[in-house]
Amino acid sequence: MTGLYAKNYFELFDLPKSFDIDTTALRDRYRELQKTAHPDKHAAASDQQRRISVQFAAQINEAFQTLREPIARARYLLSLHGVVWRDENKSLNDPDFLMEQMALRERLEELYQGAQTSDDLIGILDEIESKMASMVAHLSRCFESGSEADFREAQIIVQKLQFFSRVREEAEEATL
Amino acid sequence: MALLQISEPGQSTAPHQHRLAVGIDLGTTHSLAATVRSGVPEVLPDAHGRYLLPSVVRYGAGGAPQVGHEAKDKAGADPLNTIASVKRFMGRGIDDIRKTVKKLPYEFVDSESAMPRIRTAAGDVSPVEVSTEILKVLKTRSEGSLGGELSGVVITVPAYFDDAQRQATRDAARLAGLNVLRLLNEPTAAAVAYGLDRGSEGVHAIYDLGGGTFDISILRFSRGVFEVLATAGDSALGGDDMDRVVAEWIMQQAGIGDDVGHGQLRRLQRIACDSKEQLTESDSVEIVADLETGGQWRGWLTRETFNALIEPLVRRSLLPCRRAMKDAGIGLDEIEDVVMVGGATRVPYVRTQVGNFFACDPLVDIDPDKVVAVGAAIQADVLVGNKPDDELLLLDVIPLSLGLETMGGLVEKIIPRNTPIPVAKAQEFTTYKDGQTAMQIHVVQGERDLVSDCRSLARFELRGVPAMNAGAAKVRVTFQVDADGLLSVSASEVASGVQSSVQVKPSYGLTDSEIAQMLRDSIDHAQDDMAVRALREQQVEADRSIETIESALAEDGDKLLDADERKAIDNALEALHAARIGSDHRAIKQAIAHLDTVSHVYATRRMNASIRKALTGHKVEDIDI
Repeated sequence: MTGLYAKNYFELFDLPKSFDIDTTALRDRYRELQKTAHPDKHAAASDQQRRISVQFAAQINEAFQTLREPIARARYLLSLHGVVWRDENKSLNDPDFLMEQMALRERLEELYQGAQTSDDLIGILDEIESKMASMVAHLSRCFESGSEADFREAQIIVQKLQFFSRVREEAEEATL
Repeated sequence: MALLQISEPGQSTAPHQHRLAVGIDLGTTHSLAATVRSGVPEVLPDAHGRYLLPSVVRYGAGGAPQVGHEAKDKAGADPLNTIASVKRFMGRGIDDIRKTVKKLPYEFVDSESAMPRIRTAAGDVSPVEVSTEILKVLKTRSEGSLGGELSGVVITVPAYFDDAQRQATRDAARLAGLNVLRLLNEPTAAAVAYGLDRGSEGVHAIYDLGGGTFDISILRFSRGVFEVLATAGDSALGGDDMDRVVAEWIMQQAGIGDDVGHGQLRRLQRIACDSKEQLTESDSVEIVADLETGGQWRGWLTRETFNALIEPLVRRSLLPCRRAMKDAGIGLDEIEDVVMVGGATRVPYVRTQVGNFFACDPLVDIDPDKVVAVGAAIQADVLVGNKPDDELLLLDVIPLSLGLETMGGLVEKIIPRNTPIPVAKAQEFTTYKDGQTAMQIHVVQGERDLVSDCRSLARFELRGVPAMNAGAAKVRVTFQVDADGLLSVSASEVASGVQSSVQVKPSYGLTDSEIAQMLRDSIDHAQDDMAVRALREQQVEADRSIETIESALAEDGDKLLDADERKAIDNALEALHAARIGSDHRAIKQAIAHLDTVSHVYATRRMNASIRKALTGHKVEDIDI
């Protein structure tokens, strides 16, 4: 992080480097940090100080965005543990999961095309939500154990969650 | 014996230090200015006691343009020279305008430039210049009322305005000679006006239906901080559209064809607008329209019919409401209340529909026409430094995703909508040909997958990329969106560290050199005044730099600096003091730049120290940096 003293996002918010975090504390501290760094607090200062404040405020925003959302938080935590993320869509080698995803997409596609009732869509969304919730719980257990095998497992779960997240986004858009 | 000066806590004992600042609501149908006087926000009236300035400018042959009521009254008689609702054209290309407006109300000049120009008796004018005229009137009004030059202004914009529309608004203010402290989103401004009044903690929805734009913002208010969770809207939906559907209804009823003249159309829209307003109080209204063929048409418009006419428009506003709730991750049960902003929310049907949607009674107790200007005034007062210890902080978001054009005309999103601002994202690009030294980058804004479905913001070329084999040169481009929601771009080559030059050509709007030209044109003794202006600007910045550094040194210079560092800063300060007395603006600029360089590490350390202090409550001296 350029300029910021904190070595990572967790340290910035004075939170332990773990997957399970106190989200209320995160939000409260986010506000406290922005009360100090935000450019509006330096509106009357020199150009230099305003530039630094924009940089700091942007990094605090980035850190907050990353930590508040479980998938982004898991990705970040894994990258702190040395995981390098690259071209992920190809590297997921799990035919069963991919079949399951395709089936899910087909069901949704039918609903988008046909005279879908929003109840049907909401039913599928609930299904997706509960799947994602149990995967996040699984992630949490992997991070807690911290073994090499569990980190690899966590990586795969994150990739799967990203699939679900994209499908959920589309389905939600369709309910609007 | 001198009397002791006693002041309220938080207020300055030296009244002359109070800086003059106003908040300006630059609206589609009308504009207004407000200020904070003795801690109380107030809207500034004109000489006749009127608060609202119609956003109408009439360009006659010769003489200064007429602005406001006078111009509005001439709209029917002189439709082509009388520009109303120009906000709808801000930051828009002529093709966009054609898409949203069925019949162009003015004569647009055919030109190569993407910036549309309107032909008038006083020459061709751009939407930015029309807005400048409105701002100038409000500037004069404010300075007359406050008795001095304005230190700064906060100008409000629809939350859903894209980068081009924001940039156009900022340009208009620059041309009017205003120092813009901040562009503030209208719903956020309204929340400030309401929130401070009530101190109500929790999640609120702000439904802002103005003359030509619609915004919905979901925000959380907690301990002085307004945090926008999500915003959505439609920058081409407003009360004007209600007038249009009513005018179309009258034309249909009266047998007036589509080939109606500009003057007649403007008169019908005026009648439609008056009828809409009357229907807020009455159940029906009689309409009398003069026909171009001579004779008159008379008829009654009931509120029921009116509701049916505007139903599709109101329904259109509910889709963004659902999207904002989804993006905010907020359920209906978590919304404390919905605040109604904008003149069009006076329409009873709008109030009931919005109340039904959010399942609560809409808040309507601050005048929906004034609430935005009041909120802007409160923020302006804080930003200009009149309330140094104020807790107020507004955290806003970017309303539309920013993306880049990739192969096949597809968009790759780099900053998704509703990301908190300021935000910076870096992206690496590589060359695809051996020896390639330049790259084209196209920035777009919008949610769709195809470039052609998004707004083109800027195209630029990265030059000076070191010639290497294909794929070896890596250029890191940083996109930064500031607290105003405005984008800036910088780039550097990763391996060599060579800073690439970025020529941003806005797809719509004015380039910096065009603005400079317009400023020169507007000043009589161009050369002299530009030099005086440049000197004045550097002096102001020098004073700010000196003040910032000196007060910092007094506070923690001993703790955060070693002797050598301190010496370097002291020397640079001395040099700046010396340059400041002279009249060479370049020398001052150089001295500021030197002070910046030698004090950069110190400024960063200070920011870090205050951030740590904010979290831990430690005193600065306890902290090792």
